[in-house]
Amino acid sequence: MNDDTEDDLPTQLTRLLRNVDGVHTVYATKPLLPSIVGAVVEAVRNDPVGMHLVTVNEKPDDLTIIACIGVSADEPATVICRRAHDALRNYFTDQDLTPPATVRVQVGRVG
Amino acid sequence: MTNTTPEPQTPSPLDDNKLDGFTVDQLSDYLDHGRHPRNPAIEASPAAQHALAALSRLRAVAPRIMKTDAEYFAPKNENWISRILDQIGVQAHAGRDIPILHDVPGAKLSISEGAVRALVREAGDDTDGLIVERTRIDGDLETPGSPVQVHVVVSTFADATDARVVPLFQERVIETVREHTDLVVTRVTVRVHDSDITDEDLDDDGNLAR
Repeated sequence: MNDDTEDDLPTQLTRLLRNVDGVHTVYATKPLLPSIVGAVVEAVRNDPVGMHLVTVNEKPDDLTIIACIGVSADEPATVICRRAHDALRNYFTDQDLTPPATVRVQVGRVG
Repeated sequence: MTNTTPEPQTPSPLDDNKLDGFTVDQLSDYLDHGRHPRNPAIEASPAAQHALAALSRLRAVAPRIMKTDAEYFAPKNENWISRILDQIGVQAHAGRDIPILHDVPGAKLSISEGAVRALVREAGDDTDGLIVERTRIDGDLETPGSPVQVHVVVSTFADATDARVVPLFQERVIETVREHTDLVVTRVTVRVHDSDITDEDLDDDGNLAR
């Protein structure tokens, strides 16, 4: 992936989450294909690789976003989780896109 | 531009079991080699990361525990180490989803039970004189506001004073669980496990069979 390529939505949302204060890792929410598992280590180091770590389930009138994150212990995990959720939801508002019906964010690890 | 995450076409190596396909032995070997070469699947798994953290802590404190115990009592038997290693695998898996409240329609936020158990273990790491063996959270975790109880089994070092370290640890558990979750914790119990007890001394519930 390079700067000349338009990222798909899961990749954009993954990048977005990595930039949320307190989020140190974005974990895969679906089992990873063996062919792409090698890229995950780069993804967790926040390198700019195209990984579908955030899941986007798109059905008519039912868009669901699913993310699993690792967060810093420097502030409450609940606060960071809500912040991550709001960032995901705000993305759709900012881009003037149809908002997701459901945004699931799970904290998988603290600290 | 693809906006929908495709379904995986083949079974993943990460969902074989509770540690995302890895055993404690494999993770221990990985630590032996200084986490090199880097294993992407291990590094991408929260459960494996929890287990690695617990293994690292055990390795850090085990020599001290052995040494101090040898000075005070008969050395701990191998059963103690194997019992803790067994628990690392059990404790690291994600478990249930614990809701995080957020007053936004369509928001479904949670923290994994495994992450909370790791918080309890880390509270033990921060308390000089003990190591957490296992944590059990009783109650309806998946219903916000429901009362829950946290039960922790620890081993204390022979040179530690239980009357000092256990209340300190208990306070830290309450503090960290309240800080990082929306759980309503009504009780935290800490049981100090006699390190020289063998499995033959325990009943099916892990209690002393006397």
